[in-house]
Amino acid sequence: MCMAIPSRIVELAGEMATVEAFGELRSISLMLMNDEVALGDYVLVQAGGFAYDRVEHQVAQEALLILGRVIGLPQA
Amino acid sequence: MNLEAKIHIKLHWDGRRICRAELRPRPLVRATEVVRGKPAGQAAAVIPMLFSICGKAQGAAAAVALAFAQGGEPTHTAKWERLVLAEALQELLWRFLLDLPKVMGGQGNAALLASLRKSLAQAAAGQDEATWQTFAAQAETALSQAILAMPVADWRKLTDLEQLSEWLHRSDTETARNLLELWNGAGRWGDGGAVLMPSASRERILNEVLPGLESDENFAQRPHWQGRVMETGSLARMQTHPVLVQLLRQEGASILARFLARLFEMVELLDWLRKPAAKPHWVQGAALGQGIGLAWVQTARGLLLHRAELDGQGDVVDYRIVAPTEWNFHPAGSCVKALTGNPATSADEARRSAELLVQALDPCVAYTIEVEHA
Repeated sequence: MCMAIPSRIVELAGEMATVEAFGELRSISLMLMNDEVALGDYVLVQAGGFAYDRVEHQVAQEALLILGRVIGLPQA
Repeated sequence: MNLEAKIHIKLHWDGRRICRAELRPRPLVRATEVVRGKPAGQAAAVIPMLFSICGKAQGAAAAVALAFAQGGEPTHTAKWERLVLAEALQELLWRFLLDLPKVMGGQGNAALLASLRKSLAQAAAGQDEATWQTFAAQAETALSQAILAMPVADWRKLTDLEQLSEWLHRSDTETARNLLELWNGAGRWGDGGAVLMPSASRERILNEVLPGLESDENFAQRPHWQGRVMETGSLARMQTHPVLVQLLRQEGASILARFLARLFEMVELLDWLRKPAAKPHWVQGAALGQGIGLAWVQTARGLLLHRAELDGQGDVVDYRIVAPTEWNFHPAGSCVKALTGNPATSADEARRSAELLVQALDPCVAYTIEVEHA
């Protein structure tokens, strides 16, 4: 509910990017981003496919760890 | 399990009309699974981090519910209120600058929305009066020039359908053109019979909503108001606006009425952003007893509820979130009922009409629409 999973940028192409979260890839738009982003950065993506926020690595990894636990992924 | 699970709508189409519609709600991650056992302070930080769509509203609701659960009073509610109002204004602008144009086959104005988001981020980070006024001024300019094609002060004088019709026919913005198409027929339907939610007063929330939240374990997925399916959002909040009163009397909660309500509400939000009310009214809460706190917060999409329960050590033992999308996309709600019986001469027409209705009800997650020839 109302969740946006921190998604890691794996490819950049101008105002578009490919992001990955829990093994799923998707293409997103960076047009609404306030911050510059680079490969490896984590972003939050709205339902329409627009990234809307950059998330610090540590915060993103903490969120992914909690979410991974909720969906039953093996923990490191 | 897909954490960003979609709402799925299935249309049974018989060649002439949608004879039946079904809605499968998105599977929910229970908030309590995410924060159980965490100290209240940590839970207040984790919740907006994970439930980050309408993140300001989620943060405000968590702060308020957890403060009351800890036996105290929430602090900084005026600051939260302004952030929540600004977030709602930005979300509503998003509908007109991107989402409505997209569903109507237009271009939208992503560059303007991006610029407004930058200004809001600066105001939210600075929290000083000057940056808030700068954001409000920029939002007003966007509203008056890119959406209304008239000064906001003149828009406020619009009080009947004749004036609305005049505005629709003479204004040359993408929003006005889209709304004119809705006015001319595309959006004069959509009432699914769900009751528009009354204003969320403390008494109503505690007496008419809380009992369901506390006793019904499916409440977060299928919320109800004393057993009744309700619609929340701008139209519910703005239902006493004179233009909407006339429109609701004529055609019920139509697609057009829902989009117009957002336009009228944006002007109110601008006023409150410029000059916040003495007492917050979009961010509210209550202590429910030892270790239990409740928050009810308005968002662009409607009512958001958080209920937090702590043990004697101050750790979370139960946490419930009820988001507006679950009210508006209830399997027995407006979406399904309004689609049922709707004429459609092709499967594509059935799909497009469903897309328009879904945009009018505005889910916070993605959706899929399947059309089956009955």
